[in-house]
Amino acid sequence: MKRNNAWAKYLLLAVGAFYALPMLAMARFSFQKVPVIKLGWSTLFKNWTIQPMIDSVTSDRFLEAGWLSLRLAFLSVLLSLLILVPTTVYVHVRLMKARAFVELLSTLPFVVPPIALVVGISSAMRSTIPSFLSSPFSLVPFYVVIALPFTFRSLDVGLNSIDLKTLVEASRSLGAGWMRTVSLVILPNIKAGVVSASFLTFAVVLGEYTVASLLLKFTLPAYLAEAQGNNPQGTFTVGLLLIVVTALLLGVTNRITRGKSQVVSTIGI
Amino acid sequence: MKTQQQVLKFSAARKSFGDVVALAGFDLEIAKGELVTLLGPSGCGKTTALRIAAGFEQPDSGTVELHGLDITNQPAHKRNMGMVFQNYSLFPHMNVTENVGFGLKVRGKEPAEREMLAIAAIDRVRLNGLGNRYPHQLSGGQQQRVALARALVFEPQVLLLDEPLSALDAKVRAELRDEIRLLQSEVGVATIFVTHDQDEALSISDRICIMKDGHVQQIGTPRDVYLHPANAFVARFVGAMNEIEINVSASSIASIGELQLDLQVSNISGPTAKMLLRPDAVSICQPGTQGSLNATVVGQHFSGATTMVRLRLDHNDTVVSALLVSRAVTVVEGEVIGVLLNTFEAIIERGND
Amino acid sequence: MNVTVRSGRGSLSERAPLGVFARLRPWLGILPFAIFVSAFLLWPSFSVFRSALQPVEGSTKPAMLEAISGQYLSSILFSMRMSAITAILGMVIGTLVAIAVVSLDRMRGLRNLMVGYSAVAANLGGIPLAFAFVASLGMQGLYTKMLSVIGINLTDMGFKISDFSGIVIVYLYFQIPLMTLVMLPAVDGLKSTLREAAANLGASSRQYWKSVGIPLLTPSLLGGFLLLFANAFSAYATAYALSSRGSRLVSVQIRFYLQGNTITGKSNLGYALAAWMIIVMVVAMSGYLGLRRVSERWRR
Repeated sequence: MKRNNAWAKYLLLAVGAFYALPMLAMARFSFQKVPVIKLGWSTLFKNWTIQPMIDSVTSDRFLEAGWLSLRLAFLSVLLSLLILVPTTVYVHVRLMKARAFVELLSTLPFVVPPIALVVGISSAMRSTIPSFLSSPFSLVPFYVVIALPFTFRSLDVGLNSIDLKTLVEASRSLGAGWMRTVSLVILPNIKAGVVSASFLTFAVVLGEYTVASLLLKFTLPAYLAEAQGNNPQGTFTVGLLLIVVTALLLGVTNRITRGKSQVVSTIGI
Repeated sequence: MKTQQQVLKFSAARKSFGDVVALAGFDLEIAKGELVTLLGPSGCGKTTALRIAAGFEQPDSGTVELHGLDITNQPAHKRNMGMVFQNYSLFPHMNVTENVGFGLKVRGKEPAEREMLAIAAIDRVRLNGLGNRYPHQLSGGQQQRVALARALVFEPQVLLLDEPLSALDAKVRAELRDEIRLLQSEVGVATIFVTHDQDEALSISDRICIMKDGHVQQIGTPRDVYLHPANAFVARFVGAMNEIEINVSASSIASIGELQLDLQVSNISGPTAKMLLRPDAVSICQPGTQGSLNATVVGQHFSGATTMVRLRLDHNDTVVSALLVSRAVTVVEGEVIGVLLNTFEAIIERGND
Repeated sequence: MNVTVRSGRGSLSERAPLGVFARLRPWLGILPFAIFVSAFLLWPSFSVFRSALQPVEGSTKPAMLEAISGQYLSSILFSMRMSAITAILGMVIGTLVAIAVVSLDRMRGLRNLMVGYSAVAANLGGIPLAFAFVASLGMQGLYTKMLSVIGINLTDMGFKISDFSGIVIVYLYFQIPLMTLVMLPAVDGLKSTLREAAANLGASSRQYWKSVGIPLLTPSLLGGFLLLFANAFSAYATAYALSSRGSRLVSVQIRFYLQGNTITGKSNLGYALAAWMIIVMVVAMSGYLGLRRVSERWRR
């Protein structure tokens, strides 16, 4: 059956342009020290400089915020895996009946918008355990919660895509105990799931603003909000950097799961 | 013999996809009520021919005629043919009754009449009472029955079946196969059945058209094709075949070792000709009987009424299979036995040098 | 002939049914997870509702009822309107993109590129995205300038990136790819055999879409709409970065009710708005999940 697909190509071109143009404008603003008013054909190639970027990334505030964000990201990934990997493996191996329940709990974070979550955190913990919230690392468990849909789904899909029951039975029949079965047989086979869960969590943490700013923690997004006043160009380059890193993390996640007929949801749902 | 009304006719239909010739000069006529099977391995062109009949592909050259009218370029949805696909063809959002009634709906029938005809069709395929179920609630076999009902309810002029049983379990396959044949002959619709399974083809066809690499190898009744294969490909593809090397002397006398065979062989001479022989043309006797070859029994495969006995000929260690009625088989492995070859319908081909 | 039939009567050595404890014991394995989620998600959420049900200072009504009256109601409705508009636009464009991608199935690379970027774009938001659009269509934006050069003066037209239409455009940046990702499996599910079966049964192209194509896509379309609605409704960072002070969006307003909270005494109102947000999200997400289950059943 002949189909006319010209419209499809035009549409994708238009949408692709919509996706690309803002990023290009951001890059231009970040790296070209020519105010828009003065921009014209003659000035198109003038004054491209990375100086504002250098000023930004070497500034104390950036380093402080960046360092905190990095640590929060790593800790969140660690805590996520620490809680989710044993739980999902346990469910798939031992108690499939609980899967729906675990899935429900993992989808709940979606119905609590970050703004609602953070006001709830304030209300619940400020009075009862105030010292907890004073540490910047108090963000970690909440980030784990926010990233929960993504991490659960990545691991769940990974576990579904291997014939877990058979592998476990084979391993046990060959004499391996539970610990070895999990570490030598199960984990290596869900590598893709673990990696994508980690990358997604990492990306979520780096970009999270709502909770961090309302709990007055100075993370990268908070830096962006603060610094745009005094060094707009430099700040924009950091924003661009953040986008590029997120794109890399998500892009790699996409690629490593594509070939294995596991379609990991990068939207967590 | 009553004259049969010709319904569908392919004339010199050709189709290529890029460099690959999928169908080369296809000619076939199908009469009313006749079930013709297109049989062959993957890539032989059978599906292409079917899709050309349905209107999903256009031949590069040649024509398709329906009741004498050229429909080669007629769009698929105007051809009034019923088609059953291999799978995934039921509309998932409609229940069985709605699925079956779809063709009627498109043809403008009133809801009351649609429902009545649909229910009758559903009963016909023995799914009484399942009208309200949805496809995902049905088994594979049930889904194909619905597809069949859906294709037949509006009384099409041709029924097209594209490997309808291939995705089903063996047991369901056998059941459904016979039901399809029964239904088809009751309704009396000209039918093209595509399959790669020669058992299916042999058991339900009026005629079989065997294809390979886009070319027709033979068209004939199941008996014709089995007992008188037109060439070595057909002989091997349909049913099992023994292959025995024979020697053809300069005077066209064929022999295996010392034994002269009752065969006329022309155009071939040399030590490496091959004889193709059906297992049911091989029998056993006391060793040393006149006209027999000596052999050792190397295995038996019991299938209920018949037993396939495997015999290694002393002559050159060729293993042949003999299909025997089980009651007549009293041999044991290792036993030395005589083998009789009924070369009446043997096929000779030149061996590979 | 002697035929023995054995009956299936259980012997006394058959195990007694497991006690309640033994049956519940396996569930201990997910206890750590459940406790974690309770502590860091459920407890804060319940706190929101607990505070929301308290009255605002100087009144006897629970804050939640106060929050859906008068000016507060208008901001909830404003957010819902904004979310609905971005959801509809995102739904239409995102679905068309999904259909386009699937119809160009010979160009695998194009599909992978679009899907890959959609995965990124659907997760972008917040401040970096706001930055990008300010640089594009803000007062000093690159494209604002380029458009004025060819005669379309956005500032004169009263367009501001921080206004309603500006925020809608920015939200579309992640709404469109989100819908694309949601619709791709559904569009893939419109297998060619269904199209051929319909044609064979006599349906023209129009009849196919009317009777088969669109009905099959409808659950995913509606579900996608609800997901996009929920996504826009809960967004905070992007809106805050673009328009903070003047924003009429609920999510941003909650912040201001809770900033100087002890002074204004209106903090419970903030919690009330947050509680209502959660309720809206629960309704929207339940709808989405229910519709998704329907479309998945059809794809079996």
